[in-house]
Amino acid sequence: MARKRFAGEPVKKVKRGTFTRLINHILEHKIRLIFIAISMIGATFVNVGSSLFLKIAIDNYITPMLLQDKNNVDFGPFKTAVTYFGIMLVIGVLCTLAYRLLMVKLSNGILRDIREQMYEKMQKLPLKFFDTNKAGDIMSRYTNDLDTLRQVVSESLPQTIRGSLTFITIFASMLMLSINLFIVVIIMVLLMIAFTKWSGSRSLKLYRKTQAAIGGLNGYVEEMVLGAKEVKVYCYEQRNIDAFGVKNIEWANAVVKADLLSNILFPFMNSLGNILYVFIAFAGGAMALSGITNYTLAGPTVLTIGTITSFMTFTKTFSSLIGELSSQLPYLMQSLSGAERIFDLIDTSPEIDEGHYWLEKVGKNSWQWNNGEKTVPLVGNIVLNDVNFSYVENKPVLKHINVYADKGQKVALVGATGAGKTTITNLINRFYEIDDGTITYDGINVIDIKKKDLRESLAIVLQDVNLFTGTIMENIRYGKLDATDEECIAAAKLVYADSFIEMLPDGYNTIIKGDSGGLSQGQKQLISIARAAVADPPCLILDEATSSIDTRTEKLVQKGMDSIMQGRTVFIIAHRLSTIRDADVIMVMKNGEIIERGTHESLLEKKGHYYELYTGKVEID
Amino acid sequence: MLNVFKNSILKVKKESLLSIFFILFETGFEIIVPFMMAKLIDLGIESSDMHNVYKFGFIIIALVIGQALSGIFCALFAVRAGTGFAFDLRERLFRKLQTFAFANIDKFSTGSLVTRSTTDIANVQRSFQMVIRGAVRSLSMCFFSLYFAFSINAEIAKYFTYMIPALLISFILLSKLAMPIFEKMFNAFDSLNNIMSENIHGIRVVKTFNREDYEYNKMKKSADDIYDYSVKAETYVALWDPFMNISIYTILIIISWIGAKAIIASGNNPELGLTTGKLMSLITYGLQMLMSLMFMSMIYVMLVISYASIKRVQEVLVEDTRIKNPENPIYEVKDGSIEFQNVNFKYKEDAKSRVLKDINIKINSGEMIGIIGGTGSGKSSFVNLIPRLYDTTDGKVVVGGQNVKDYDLNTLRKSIGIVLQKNVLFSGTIASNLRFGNENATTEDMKEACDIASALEFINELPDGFDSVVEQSGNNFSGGQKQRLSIARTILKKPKILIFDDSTSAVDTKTDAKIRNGIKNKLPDTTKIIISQRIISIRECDKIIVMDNGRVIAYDSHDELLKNCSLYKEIYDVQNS
Repeated sequence: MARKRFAGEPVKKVKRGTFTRLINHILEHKIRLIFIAISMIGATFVNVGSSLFLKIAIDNYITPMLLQDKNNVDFGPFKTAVTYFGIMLVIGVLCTLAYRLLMVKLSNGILRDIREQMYEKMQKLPLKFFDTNKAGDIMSRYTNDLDTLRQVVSESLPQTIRGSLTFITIFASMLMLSINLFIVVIIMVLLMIAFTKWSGSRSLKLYRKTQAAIGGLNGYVEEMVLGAKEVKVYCYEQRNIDAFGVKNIEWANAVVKADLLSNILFPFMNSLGNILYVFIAFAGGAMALSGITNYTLAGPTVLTIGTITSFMTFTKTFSSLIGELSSQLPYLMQSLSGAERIFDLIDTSPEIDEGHYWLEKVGKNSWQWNNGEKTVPLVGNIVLNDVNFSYVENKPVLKHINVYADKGQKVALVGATGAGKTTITNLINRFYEIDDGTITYDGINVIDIKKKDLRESLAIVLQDVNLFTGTIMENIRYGKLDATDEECIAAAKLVYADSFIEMLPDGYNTIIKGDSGGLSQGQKQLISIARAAVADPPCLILDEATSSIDTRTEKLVQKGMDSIMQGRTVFIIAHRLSTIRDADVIMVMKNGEIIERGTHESLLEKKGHYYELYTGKVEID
Repeated sequence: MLNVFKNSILKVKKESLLSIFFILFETGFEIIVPFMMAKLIDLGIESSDMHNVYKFGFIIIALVIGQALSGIFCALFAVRAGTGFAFDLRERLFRKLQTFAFANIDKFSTGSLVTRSTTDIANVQRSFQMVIRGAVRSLSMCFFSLYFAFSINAEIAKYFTYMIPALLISFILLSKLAMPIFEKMFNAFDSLNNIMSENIHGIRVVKTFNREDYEYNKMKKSADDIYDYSVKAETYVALWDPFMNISIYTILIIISWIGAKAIIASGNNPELGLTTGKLMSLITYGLQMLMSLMFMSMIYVMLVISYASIKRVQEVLVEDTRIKNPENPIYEVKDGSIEFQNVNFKYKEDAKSRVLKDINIKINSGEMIGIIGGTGSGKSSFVNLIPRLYDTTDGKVVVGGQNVKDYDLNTLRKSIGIVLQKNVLFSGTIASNLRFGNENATTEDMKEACDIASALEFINELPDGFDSVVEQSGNNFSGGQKQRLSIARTILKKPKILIFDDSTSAVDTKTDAKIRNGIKNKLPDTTKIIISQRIISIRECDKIIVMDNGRVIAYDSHDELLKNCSLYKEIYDVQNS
């Protein structure tokens, strides 16, 4: 029965919900949020109030004091006012301190939650996800996108919220002072918004152009630096410099245009704000002199000089706030697309495991399975029965594959690149799910076996060796976390890795870092074989595992390899046919089908495809 | 350190100076505006004098327009300066990379060179722009604010100057506390990224051995570190806000208290002293000064963060190129003869063991030579010395009768074609890749070279032939096809010496033989050196060099070697059993 699962694809579109979802993440921290809200409001009030204080001091205290006898001025009330003001400011400072500190905890907490969700997800994603997305793209979700999200959560969002709070406070205060003057403000503000909107859309276009230009430039540099040795060998240096120069100029031209617009925006908006200030003075002055009724939210009043000056102070903050908020907004929108990609990743459906058969190791090279009812020793017979498979629908990669591998047998897969050899091994351990047919392990359908157990019982050694940062010992132990040092060293000795490891300055404690361990590809392959040997699985898959080891060393390793393969079911894929000559059965593959099968001798006698490959008549790669 | 960047800065001297000039104007205008606003309030609004309101209003509008214009001009030049600086720096860095010898490239690793010439250089550019715009701007703002504040009332303005050291000390204290934690945090990020990258690349290994939880725990540990460090570091940064608030509020209280006394003493008469309007301007200047101080502190922090990038770019620029052209170079390679005289070689000077030991060998022009030996026996190192991709540690390599160190590098390398073991194709077309070695190659030349390299058959099968697209690093071609294209590319150079460094490993034996016959028959005057793991590929050579552990242990024909060289015989037996 066909079991096609759409693992590796996003379950649903989240485009619209991204913002709400982000807010929901924030809302999870309710108590902290309440405290943040309270202290933020407090800080905002104090901040707005402080800009009014001087006005109040002048109107209510200094001006009346000026009317008093110059030699006997009563500073008492003013002193009290300053004291109250001081207390208010202290509260303001405390509020700022409180909300800033709480914000640090909140934003980092949210980020930690999301980050952990992402890491957890990474471990659960099916292989298809990693095969269909470039490593760089996946990394960028974990680095760039998380970083933009961090900026949104810990910088833009609080700034926007704080800005909006101030905005509302000032908005209300202005309406309390004068609706007439506010109309002047509105006209000017609409002008400013229209301008930022225009320049915003223009600068976005220019910004995209610079992104494309820098992408082209960096791409070129990357390719030429990675191929630097070729450049030297072919004396390409001068032509390289010329070609780079062209791209560099393209980049510079794009950047000058884009940067100019964004750099002009600030002085321009600033000037508009100042002009608004003057207009308010004109309008306020004219109104005060003509005695027109001043409408406020609190009712009609007479426009006083104190009101005008306060209003003017608000105008300044108001216009600078609009500038700030409008510059923050496009950035916020841009960052949300990063958040969207993150949520997409979190929503990607994980690998499914419906297994109810457990496999467990009971001793050296001895395993058993149980399904909750009975426990049976595991043999390790693998059967592929009429298996069909395609990575993309309607493009079959494997057609009617039948393979029988018994315990202790060595099954070799041979054929050109793309014939489907590696694909077969990817199906046995369920990296991918088959379209049709069955794969059984001791007669149990692999779908019914716990994925974790299935994979643990099938060690794969790949051509491209991936070692992890750490010591050589730790890398060998990766196959079995509780292996003793002795076990690891024994495994290394078995594959002739011991001699070169002992020659390294720190022996088994030599630290391997990323790709540049100073180890040759062949040496890395030996380590990865040792890693699989330590795991001691009933079934072993060697996918071009010795391709980088020279023929002489391979001969030396052969004895160790034979003892590793002893008593296990082994699948071998090798390009070098001498490696697989002694296999129990050789399957020759072409275009997703097994076209010949038999032993080395019988296949040579047949004078078919294998014969052509072996005698070098057909290119194997 | 700045010395390295001096040239690039000098390139944009004019633009930088002009932008600084306009910044001074811009900030000057900006600073006078509040001064005029005070007058507008004092003499206009407060005195209910509409005439003065209009007068000062229009003065302000004129000032504002002046400010906007100088701001725009400043942006114009600052952007040009910043981009020009980066443009020049990129160019210099890229040129420098072209002069690097293999040893220089090995020292940095190509991956690190890519980061340095992309990400790091962008950071340096950002720092430069920040300094010429932000730093100059806030410095001049700070200075102008203080100047005007003092000119209004020195008595009160002097309190502003007290704020500067107070803020400076608290800033230094906070950054001293926060910086090391930030550094730890960045390190934690690096190690986390490393873990993730290894996990993504090695996902098959992780899944095979069921190490998902193990990997997750590794990540979680780093992530927890990041959380701890960033909470700690950001807490210090968060303290900066209340600090600023305290300074602003302190200034407010001091000014209003002392200001009130001064106003009462003057009777709010501009002739006698402080007035309410002037008090307002004083506040504005005080706040402006604080803001610019804060901005400077921000720039400082950003500079510290990008300091690592600055250093990494600088390291590349000051790197001493290992292999340089001699003073009076020879511009012609006479023939393809090669001689190694007492050659010893180590990749790094401080390395203990030599990769090549006491090599003495003579190859005549036009000969076909095979090299065989185990992994790490020194075969590739041997051939790399011939086109001077590396220099010998001791002894000399002689090509065409002259020491390779006496040749012009381009001349030498143009006459020696080497097909590297790990060959790279570049994005473009097959033709552009073939012309990589010889830009003047005609289609006929290309066909001929591809014919020798046995590449013509598969190129002809492609719908676009020589114009077929090649993806980055040639990913859309098989290993064997890539090798054959690399061989053709090298043959197109028409070299006097042709070297194959295991260049036909992915090619089937039949094609391999065809290629060998091709170069033997069609390039009779070219010296041919073939490194191979397979005896079948080299048995027909005039002579074969057998290498083991950095030494040449035998140099003879196939038949003689079978008789006299036990190692050769052993390899032969392994491959022919």
